[in-house]
Amino acid sequence: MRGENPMRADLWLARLLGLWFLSFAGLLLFLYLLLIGVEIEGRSMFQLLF
Amino acid sequence: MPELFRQLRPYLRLVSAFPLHLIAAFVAALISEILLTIQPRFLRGFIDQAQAGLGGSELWVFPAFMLGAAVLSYAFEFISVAIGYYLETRLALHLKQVYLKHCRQQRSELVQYSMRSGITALADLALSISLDFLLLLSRLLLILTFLSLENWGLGLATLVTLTLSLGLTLMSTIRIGRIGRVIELSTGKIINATLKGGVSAKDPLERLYAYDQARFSLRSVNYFLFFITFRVLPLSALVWYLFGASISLGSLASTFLFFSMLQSPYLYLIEMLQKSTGAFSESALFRKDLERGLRLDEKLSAAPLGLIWSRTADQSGEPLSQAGKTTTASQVYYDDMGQIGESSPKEQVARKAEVLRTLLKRSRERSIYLHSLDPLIGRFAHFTEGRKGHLQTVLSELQENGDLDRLLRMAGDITPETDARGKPDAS
Repeated sequence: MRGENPMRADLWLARLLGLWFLSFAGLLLFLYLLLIGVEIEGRSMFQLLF
Repeated sequence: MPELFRQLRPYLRLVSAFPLHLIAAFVAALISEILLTIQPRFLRGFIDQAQAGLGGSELWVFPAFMLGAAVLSYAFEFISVAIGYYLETRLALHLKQVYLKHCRQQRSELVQYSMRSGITALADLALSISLDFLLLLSRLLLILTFLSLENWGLGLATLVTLTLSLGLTLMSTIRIGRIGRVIELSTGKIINATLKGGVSAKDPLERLYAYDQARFSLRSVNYFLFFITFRVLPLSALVWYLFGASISLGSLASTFLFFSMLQSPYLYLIEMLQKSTGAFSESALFRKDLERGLRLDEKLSAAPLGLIWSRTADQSGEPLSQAGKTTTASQVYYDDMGQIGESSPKEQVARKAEVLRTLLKRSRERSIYLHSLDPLIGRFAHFTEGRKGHLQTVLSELQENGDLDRLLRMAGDITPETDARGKPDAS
């Protein structure tokens, strides 16, 4: 669509994309800790929860 | 509902031009929901492990995980909301630009209403239908799935109650909306009749009161349904426990948390339905004008640069006679210079040809749309609008209809390059 400043819109989207990847990296770390990284009495957190 | 989709198709098409944005927003919101819905499971684990006598230092892991999940959920929700906001702003901006450019509405209060809130609400509605409804339903289903993991019987009972409750609330909400409109219309009629004088307002006002009572009863029904679903149904988990079902205290606590989590998407869904029906019915005031503008804008931006001839008597845009004088470079004109025939005076033909030549020159920088029934335009225009609204070249259209010979005869020697006497154009 026309009529807006494409540079500003691109910057806004680029920041969002950056946050997307950062959050995704955080999610992967969280899943690693949940599935493998943390163990209580020999069982992973995931096994404790489900 | 299919009618709603059919009528909103032009706006949904604009939203669907951003599939990657929509997918990114949807996936981010879904991840956020999963991370949020998992929280009661952590609480359940915490309570059960504490009861089993797990050491204090190891119990700290649970709140740490809950905090991590909450922070990630917040980040993903922010991303989803920000993409939604970005899309809504772009859509509203585009619609407002088109509306202002091609709007034929003369009543200033209507244009003000459209620009202040109407178009933004319509853009919001289009985005809600494309994204938010789906998200809210998936959120409800996610919570119900987690609830079923705790106790499948309770999960099933909640699913049935929630579906019934949503259906009934939707029906009564639609009726409340209709009654609201009737009250608004009747109030206007009563005021008009009273201002004209001689009419007693007592009976009509009593009828209004009856409508208001009906609205109150319907609202009470909605609240009763909410009470059954979110106040009474959760207690069945306690009854289940008292009857000796093998559920832990942690499971009981998480069940209650799941019930309280269900409330927000449920209420949000109902609010959204209420807002949507309002926005949709109010948009009828300007939608026709806006959609005509959208179609026109689409044609102007899709065609290669040139003069587009719309063979209608439509009187939108600026008069053709002003095309040579005005400094505002309008993109839409209508023919007010009369139809040129074989018996037309030479001066009239020359004046019109001159204006058309000016328009033709301008159309090489920016496409111009001209409404006219005059065949003379065929000698100047590059494109014409076919019967189904598609653009085609003037030549192909004329050859198809066998109009070419008639046109050449009627327009004589006038072409964009020559004047009315057939001499080369000096400009």
